[in-house]
Amino acid sequence: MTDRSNADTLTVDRLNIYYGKFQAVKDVSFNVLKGEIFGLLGPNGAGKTSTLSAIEGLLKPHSGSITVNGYNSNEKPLYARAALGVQLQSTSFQPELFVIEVLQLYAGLYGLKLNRQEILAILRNINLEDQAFKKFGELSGGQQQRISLVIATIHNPSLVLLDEPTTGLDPQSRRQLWERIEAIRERGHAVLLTTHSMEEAESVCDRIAIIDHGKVIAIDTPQALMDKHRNDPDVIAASRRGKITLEDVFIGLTGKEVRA
Amino acid sequence: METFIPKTSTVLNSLLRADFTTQWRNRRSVVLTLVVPVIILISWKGLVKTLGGPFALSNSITIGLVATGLMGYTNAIARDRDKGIFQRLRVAPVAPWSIMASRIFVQLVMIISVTTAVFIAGVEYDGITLSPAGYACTYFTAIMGGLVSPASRPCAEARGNVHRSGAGRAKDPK
Repeated sequence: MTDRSNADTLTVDRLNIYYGKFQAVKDVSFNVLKGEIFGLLGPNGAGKTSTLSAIEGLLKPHSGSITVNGYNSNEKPLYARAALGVQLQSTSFQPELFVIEVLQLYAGLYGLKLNRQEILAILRNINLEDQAFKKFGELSGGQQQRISLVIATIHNPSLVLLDEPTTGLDPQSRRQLWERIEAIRERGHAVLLTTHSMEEAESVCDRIAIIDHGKVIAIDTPQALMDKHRNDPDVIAASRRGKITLEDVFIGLTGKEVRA
Repeated sequence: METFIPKTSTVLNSLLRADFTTQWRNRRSVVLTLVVPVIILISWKGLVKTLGGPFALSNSITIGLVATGLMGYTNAIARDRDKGIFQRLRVAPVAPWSIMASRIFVQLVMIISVTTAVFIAGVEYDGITLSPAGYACTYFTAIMGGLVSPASRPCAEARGNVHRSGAGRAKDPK
């Protein structure tokens, strides 16, 4: 049943995902509150992208439920997707289309009828008006991320999903993107992001969940996680400069071995 | 924040505009697809009397359909899946059928254009005319033959796009 009174923007409850016989996600549960930036951290192959794909509706889970803005994604998939803004890990748009046409396409897919002037105004806001008639592939990595983010939020969604949004960006572009993510939160949207950057998680996330081998092993604020695990022997062993960081906690909890 | 589902007409309108723009920007393949069968028909002028007009027409159209399949939208579909463009479209609140319907409509327009170009060239250069039923039957056969090309061409990527246009399913091993 659809529960519109739910205060959480996103509720993931006992999610299980299989690929053949391999269970990628095991009983994962968490919630994202309105106006919150929630980080999903984990080593490669931990189950982050599978969890995100299930929330996006790209993958049908074996069991468990996902509720976005009060809409159960299994019962009302289109409503759940309409409440989402998505930036995929490797965002790609039709290479033949100009930036302005890509924005026009995605505005239309979310039911918005924006004319050329309105789209140019959106591009002006992110200082990319002069790139309107360039193809997406001709933009720099930072410009592409700005376009992807503006497309993800073009329909004013309740929840924005960002899959490793700052991968490959230089420090300036990364900082600028963090500011834009924080601005999304200030407008009342919830943000769920995955990242490998502990610096990013510590800087922008209100709460984080650490996922490993398909299971959530810790959920809390970055500071609370550091305080809680400060004296764990594995965390102390992972510490490189005496001071415990979020990365030390992450390595202490998930292990030092490199994942495929 | 209010959640609303876009109208199917708005979604299709946006997809069709983007897909036709994509096709228009691939003008070289469009021109080749249209020109190759016409050139073959014209170059077979001497054979029309011995082989028969309908034979020359049908062979030219077949070559045109193969060209559409090899250079046309089938390739764009395969590429879009490889580059994650379909995946990005599928996370929008649109039914998967509408994404494929728009692509198929573009393919349909190309098939009708190729067939019409061959008919016109047949009349203009070779004086080949068919009965109204003959034209209708040829259009029907061309459309049917052309539309199966994305599914039947020996390209696993293109075939995968047609089959994977719905949401992916992770399977329970039990």
